[in-house]
Amino acid sequence: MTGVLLAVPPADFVLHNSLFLIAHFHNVIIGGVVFGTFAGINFWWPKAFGFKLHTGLGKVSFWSWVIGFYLAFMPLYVLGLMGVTCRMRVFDDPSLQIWFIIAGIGAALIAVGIVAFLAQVAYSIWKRDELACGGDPWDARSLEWSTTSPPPAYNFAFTPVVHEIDAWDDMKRCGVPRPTGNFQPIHMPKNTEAGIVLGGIATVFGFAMIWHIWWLAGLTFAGLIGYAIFHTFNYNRDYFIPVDEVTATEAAALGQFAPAGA
Amino acid sequence: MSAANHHAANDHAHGHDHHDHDEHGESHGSLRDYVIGFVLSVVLTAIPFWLVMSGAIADKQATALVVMAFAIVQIVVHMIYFLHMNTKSENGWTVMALIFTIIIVVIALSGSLWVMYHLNHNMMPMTSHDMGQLP
Amino acid sequence: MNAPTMDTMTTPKASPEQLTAAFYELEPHHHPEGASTMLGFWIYLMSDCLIFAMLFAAYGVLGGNYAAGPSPKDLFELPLVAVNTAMLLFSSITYGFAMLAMAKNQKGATIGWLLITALFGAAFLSIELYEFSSLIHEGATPMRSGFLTAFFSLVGTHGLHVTFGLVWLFTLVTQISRKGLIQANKRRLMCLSLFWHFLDVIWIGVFTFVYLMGMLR
Repeated sequence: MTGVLLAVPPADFVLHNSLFLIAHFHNVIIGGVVFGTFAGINFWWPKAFGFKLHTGLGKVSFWSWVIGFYLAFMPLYVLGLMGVTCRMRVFDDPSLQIWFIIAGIGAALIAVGIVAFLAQVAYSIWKRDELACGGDPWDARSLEWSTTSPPPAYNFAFTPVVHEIDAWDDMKRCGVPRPTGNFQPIHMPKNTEAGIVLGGIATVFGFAMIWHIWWLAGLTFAGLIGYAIFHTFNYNRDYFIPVDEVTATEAAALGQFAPAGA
Repeated sequence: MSAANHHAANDHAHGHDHHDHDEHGESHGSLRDYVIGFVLSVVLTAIPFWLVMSGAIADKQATALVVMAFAIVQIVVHMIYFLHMNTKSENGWTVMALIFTIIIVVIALSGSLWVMYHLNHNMMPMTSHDMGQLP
Repeated sequence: MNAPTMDTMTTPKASPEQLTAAFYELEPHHHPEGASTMLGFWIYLMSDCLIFAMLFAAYGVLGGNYAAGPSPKDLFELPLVAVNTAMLLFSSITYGFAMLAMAKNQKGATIGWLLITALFGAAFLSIELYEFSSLIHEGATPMRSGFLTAFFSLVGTHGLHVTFGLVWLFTLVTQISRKGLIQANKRRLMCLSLFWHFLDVIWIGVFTFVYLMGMLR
């Protein structure tokens, strides 16, 4: 979004390389991407690992981040409009010093927020048995919460049928019982190392191209093509999860939704 | 009527939908298709080459328009006879994807040409001729 | 879709079994392996189409920027381009013949037509490389002008696609001769068919907009 603002040439000429740009960029990226990422991690952590993140430390992280974010970056708008350019060690105008101090306090608060988040993750992993949760810890609305936490390899023994936007909420309101029998073997793709291998070789190839290491670039490029072709000679790519395993998994899953059902 | 039954009926119909098309429903085209496509392509390629090489139409702009028209017709011919496009394959999703792509391509092409033309016109003078036009 | 759900809630008749059946696809589903591959590959082709659209746009914008260097008229030889176009067109129909042989489960004929297709594809590439090398010898390198940068990017990208199409083709020939015309190999042949004919479609754009209209500038 900073790009949108600076795409207007008159604004660009004034704001380029000023702290206004820094303020706006961080305003957008932290508010739009970083906060969303934190929200996503806190929301889906229990689905991925089967235990919640610690609430208290999460709140410390949240308030430190939000308050620190405004304290740190709002003053930069002012400074930028007053003509302060970025990446300066000192700025010789004492009247603006107060804004730098406010921003410094904000940065310190953000540091607290980062530490609190790391502590939250570490503490939650340590206390994972106390924080363990079922398939639907948030009484949520969308379908991923209708599977166990963490989900089985096949996700859903039977594909859910969606009748409205909040499908899982709909199912809970209607009191839909989970299917308990007549499971079918589930067709699954086999795991393959191809993605990791190709990604690894491609990383080296990219490095070699950037630094003009031509022999390495040639070698890894040939490796990429060669490995991709080699991978296509593997025809044995799928397997079936047997009915017994599905039935056992689904029976165990009922425990995660025991008090629900209504 | 019970809505649950209604849902079940829907589900059933849906299931059948899936069974109807599998890989063997893919069109491979016939010999006739390929030959028609090939003959049309040869004609549609030869005429624009001849038009440009012989200069049969004196007006260059008119030649360009005719050549472009031949290209578009030939692309359609290829789509139908070689790529076996039809509105039914994959429940119409191939056509849907194609229409979406065409929209994007038209916006990107015409937008680029339009914007860059105006930029060239309004921004920096690039040639000494443009310099002379400056006030 | 709110109404039927409310309905479901209030309808006394809906038994638990009916509810489960309404909200889960209980009937065994048969998803043949690779059933979605063709549509997926088509969508890949459409995205590839966008790459070429951008290169065409770049050529459209920069195609007139000669920087006092050579123009299309000084460089292009239409008879050569016509031969090149013919090579690609022949390869298209021979690939079609390979597909027809495949539909009849004729392994030998399929491989034969594929190899003939490869021959035409290789001829196309050789002519293109000859053209590129003679351009570069004349000093018309990609660095010479905006026009030549855009030209080499667009035509070169198409040539690269043909090159990888050939690599793919020879891989498939090996796989068919080893495993025969099994379903997986047929699917791969159909994907390469789309790819190969798609490249021919792109070439229509190249010879029209770059070569023919370049001569008209």
